[in-house]
Order: sequence, then C-alpha cells, then structure tokens
Amino acid sequence: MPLEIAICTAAATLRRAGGDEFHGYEIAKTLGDASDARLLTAYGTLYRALGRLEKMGLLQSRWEDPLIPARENRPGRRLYTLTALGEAAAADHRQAAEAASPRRARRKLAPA
Amino acid sequence: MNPLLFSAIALVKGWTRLYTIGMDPVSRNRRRAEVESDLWEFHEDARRHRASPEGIAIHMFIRLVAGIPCDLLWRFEDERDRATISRRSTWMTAGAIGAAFGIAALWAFFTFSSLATKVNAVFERRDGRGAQAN
Repeated sequence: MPLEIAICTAAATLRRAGGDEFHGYEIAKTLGDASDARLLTAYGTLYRALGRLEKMGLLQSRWEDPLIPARENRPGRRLYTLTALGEAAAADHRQAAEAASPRRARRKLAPA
Repeated sequence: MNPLLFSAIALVKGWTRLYTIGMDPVSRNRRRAEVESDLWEFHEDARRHRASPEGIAIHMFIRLVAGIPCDLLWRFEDERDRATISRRSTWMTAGAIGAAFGIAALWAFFTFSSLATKVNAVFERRDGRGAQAN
C-alpha cells in the first residue's frame, strides 16, 4: 500500500504545517510536490485510496459547510483529517525510513 | 473556455457518471461531487500558475485514463461490501469496462493521429527543401 502510506505521510506533513484538514486535490498536489512528479495521482487511484484509508480508520472525512462553497462560487469540498491511528502509521513509517536510510548509506560506503 | 479543456472536463464528468450509475446513492453522489471539486480546484490552480488550457486538458485526460482500473475496482468493492452485486450491476460493470476501452481507444487514436500529422509535416518540410534544392 505505498500510496496509502504516502497519503498518511503527506497528511502528517500538512498537519505539522498547520493544515488539519485537506481535500482530495490538495493531497494530490502535496504528493506530487513531495515526489517531484510531473503528473498528479489519477482520480480513480486517489479517491479509492482515500476511501480505503477511511475504512481502515486512518482518516476521517466530512463535507464542508455548504455556505462556504456557495459564497466562493465553487463545488463543495470533502475534507479529510488524519486520525490518531493515521498519525501513528505515518510516524511508524517515518521511523522505519529513517532507520533504513543510515543502513543503506553504510552499505553504500562499505568497501567492495 | 478552450474546446479541448471543455471536452476533457466533460469526459471526466461523463466517465464518473457512467461508472457510478446504479450504485448506492451515498457512494455515487460522494464520488461525483469529489471528482467535480477536484476538477474545479485543479483548473483554478493551473490557471493561477498560467498553465496552457491544452496542457491542463491533457493532464486531466491522463489522470482519467490512468485511474480507470481503480474506478472499476472501487465500484466492484463497494458493491461487494454492500452485498448488492446483482445481474443489473454486473451488466453495468461490463458496460463501464467497455466504455473504458472505448475511451482508451479514442485516446490512442487521437495521440497517434496527432503524432502521424507531426511526422507527415516533418517529411513534407524535408521533401519541400529537397525540391527547392533540385
């Protein structure tokens, strides 16, 4: 589930930057920026992954107050929040990546 | 609005409508509204960054085509979870798969025809130079 893990990590990054809630396009853009990808995650792939994460209890979602999109003349956003479980999953992944990276670096530096 | 961008938006909305037909209203309306919001945000963001309408349209089209297998899987999983797989929904899924192939074929046709036009233009330019040299 690399995309699901990437979404949790990106959501944790957004939270640290002060954004507790995010919408689908926002997370697609954050994922694209993080991986330097030229193309954003496909619609089907992204929304299926968000739904799966919600079912797993790693994300929660709600529709924003309908008055806001009406005032701003745009479609309503489905807002997602990282749950405590999602935050823990992102932290676990971060720790595992940090633990793996010095080992990988040491392997690279080891004489042949 | 640029016709290519208009077509890309219509195609994404049309495809979303098609693969959600006959689904549970909650899942169906949620998916349609989320895709519509994504299209709007993407268009506005790209416009703010002065992206060309053609570029935005192609990006939307690639996002659509690349996500088609997941769209169909999502529909299947949703119906399986709700235990509502019926003869009708099987036909709907088969129809959606057929339409997906149709979209992919259209995309391949337009991509290859535009490539062929470019290649022809290169050859014509080269032939023209050759004729002038003679």
